[in-house]
Amino acid sequence: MAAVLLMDDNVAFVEIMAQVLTHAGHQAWVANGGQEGLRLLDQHPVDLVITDVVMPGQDGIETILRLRKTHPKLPVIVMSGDSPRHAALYLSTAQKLGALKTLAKPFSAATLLNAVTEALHLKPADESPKNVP
Amino acid sequence: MKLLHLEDSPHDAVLIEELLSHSWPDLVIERVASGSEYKRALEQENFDLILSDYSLPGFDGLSALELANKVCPKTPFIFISGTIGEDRAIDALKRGAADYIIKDRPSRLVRAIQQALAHVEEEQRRVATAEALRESQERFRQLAEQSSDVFWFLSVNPENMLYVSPAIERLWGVPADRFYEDTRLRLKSIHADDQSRVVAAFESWLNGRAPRFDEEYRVVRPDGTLSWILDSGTTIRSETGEIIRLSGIAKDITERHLAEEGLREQASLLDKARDAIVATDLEQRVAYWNASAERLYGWTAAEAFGRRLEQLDLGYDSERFAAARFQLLTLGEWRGNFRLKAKNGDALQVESTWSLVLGSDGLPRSILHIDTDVTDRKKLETRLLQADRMDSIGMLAGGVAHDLNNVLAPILMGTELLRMRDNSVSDLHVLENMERSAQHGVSLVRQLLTFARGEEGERGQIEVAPLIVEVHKLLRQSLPNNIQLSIDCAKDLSPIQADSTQIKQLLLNLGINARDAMPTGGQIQIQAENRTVDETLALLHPGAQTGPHVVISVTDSGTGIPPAVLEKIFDPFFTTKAIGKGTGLGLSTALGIVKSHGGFLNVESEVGQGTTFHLYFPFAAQAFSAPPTSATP
Repeated sequence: MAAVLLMDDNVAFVEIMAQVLTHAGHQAWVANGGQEGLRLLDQHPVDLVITDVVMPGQDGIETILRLRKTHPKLPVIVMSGDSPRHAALYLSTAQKLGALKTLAKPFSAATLLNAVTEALHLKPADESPKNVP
Repeated sequence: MKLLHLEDSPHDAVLIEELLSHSWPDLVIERVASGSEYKRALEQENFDLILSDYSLPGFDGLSALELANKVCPKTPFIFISGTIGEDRAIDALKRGAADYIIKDRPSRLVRAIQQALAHVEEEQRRVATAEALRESQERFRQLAEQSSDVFWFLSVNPENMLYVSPAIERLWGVPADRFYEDTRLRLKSIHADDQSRVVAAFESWLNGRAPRFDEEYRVVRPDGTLSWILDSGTTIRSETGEIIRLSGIAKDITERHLAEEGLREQASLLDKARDAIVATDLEQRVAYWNASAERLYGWTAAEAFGRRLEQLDLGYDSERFAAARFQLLTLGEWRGNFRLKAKNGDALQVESTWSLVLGSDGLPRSILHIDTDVTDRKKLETRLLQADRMDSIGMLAGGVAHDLNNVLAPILMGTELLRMRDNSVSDLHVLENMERSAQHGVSLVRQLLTFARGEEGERGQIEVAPLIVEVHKLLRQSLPNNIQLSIDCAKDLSPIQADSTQIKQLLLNLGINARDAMPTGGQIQIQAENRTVDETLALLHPGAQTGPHVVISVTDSGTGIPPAVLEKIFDPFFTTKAIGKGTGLGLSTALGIVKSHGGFLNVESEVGQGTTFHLYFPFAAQAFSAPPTSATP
């Protein structure tokens, strides 16, 4: 059982992800983008954040940077729809900022649930970035 | 004939008139009977002949003769009289009478008159001939003396200068007299380089071995300056055919020679020009064709000369040609491009400038064509444009892939979610279909990304030959019996740094395309060899590196690809296959794979003949040092 915050401008996707997580017994909050996500985080403490990296307005990288100030140890998983110019750069940056795992869209419900389970058992020991394949 | 008859006896006069009118039907006789009448007649009229009695009352024949000699000395005068004695007759003849006829023998008169008239005629002819000769000589003299050409006459055996015109002094720089003293001086002054040739030609002409003497040579004047001479001679033969005289004209061709030399120099300069330079008349018949024109079009100057440009089979588009010609003739110049072909059929692209060349009178005289070969430049432009387009399409494809992934993500996960919740069998079936379709979308996006980014999977040093053998096995299974598949790998093939799965996929794609291009069967050949890529080839393929490469070629004997289609075959989603038969991503993926391996590819295709794809991969050692082709760390 975990509380998960999902952030993506692709609202349709995060809503379905939320239902998958709920169906599996987790608790999920859905935010349309990074700003809304950080606001929600103030109201509801969560165990895990899953955020898209390529978003209009405040993108995933900026979101992680801000989130780290208030929640330095909160596990983060990043996902991407893969954009050839930026995705690789975004994902590697996110990893350096402590993202535990990257998910390439589209991914299956099972992949999502595995990633959540894995992330909650593999909390980073300290603030140092952890390389995840 | 008009005759003056001095006769006092009417009887004799009638007789003589009767006698003569038989021989001269047009005879007109003026008879006079006295000295005064005779004198008046002589002074007033012209007569062809005078007949006179020797003795007349109050006048005498000798006085009549004297008078006639004075007034009309050329008119024959014949005495006709009774016997006058031999001495008198001789005296009369001495005084200028043409003849003396005795009245008793008038039959001689007709012949005497005939002879006298003939004599006059002869005399006239002689005078005329002499006059004509004199005039002719005078004309020649004037011509010879005033002409800038040298006229010369030589006698043969012994060889003597009979005449040489004064112009020789100007050309040879030696007074004309000297040439009479030394007959061969003319030839002795010839430039050492020309002398033996000219003397040999002169000798063989002189000896009758050569029919003509026609030589160009240089004469060195005493002051050291040069004249160019064209010397032409003719022989004058005797009735027996022996050469008795030689005559000739030596012309000063120095200016012409200098002009020709200038032209030759200009022509050699024009030959050095890289552009094809062609001069034609107004009908565009070739008059000049420089070395570059020979090189570019493959037609020699001799072949092109005199033929119209359209007749040279250069593949001029007749409508464009006519339009260009119209503009040239109306505006004086035309510039533009032509797609042409050389004699050997090679395609050419030229940038042409046609200019109307005006004569000194301002009227168009000829047309100057300057053609710059832009075949390679156009090819390069096309490739660069294509490379640009591929880059743009790559960016677009990347963006589309990103969006599609976002679109597909909720669908895929949504169907999964519904499957987790819903247990009805019929709905499960629908969900499975939806999921399969979405998965198909996902795989399309993956291919698109392979093209856009070209990078995926594990790279390692791989041997090409075993890989091709494996492709052969796989491909063989999907080919019908009427298609033969063969492979041919060089023994010394170098390894390449590559993702073997991708290369296999790539070769299979090309093989399947080849199969589809041969609905009635044919051959597919996969070859591999080492080949060095030089700068020229690298230049034609943006992103290509120079140096050793392994080239894998896939050749089919299929329908070929029309040029218009060839330009688009690497565009994503471009397909000539029926809807649902092809994704239009095969070749764009192939290009992406080759490029991501630091290589390039090249297509040769001819409609009806088949198609060959050459895939160039740098040697493994080189691939390691190649700059990264992707932003992925």
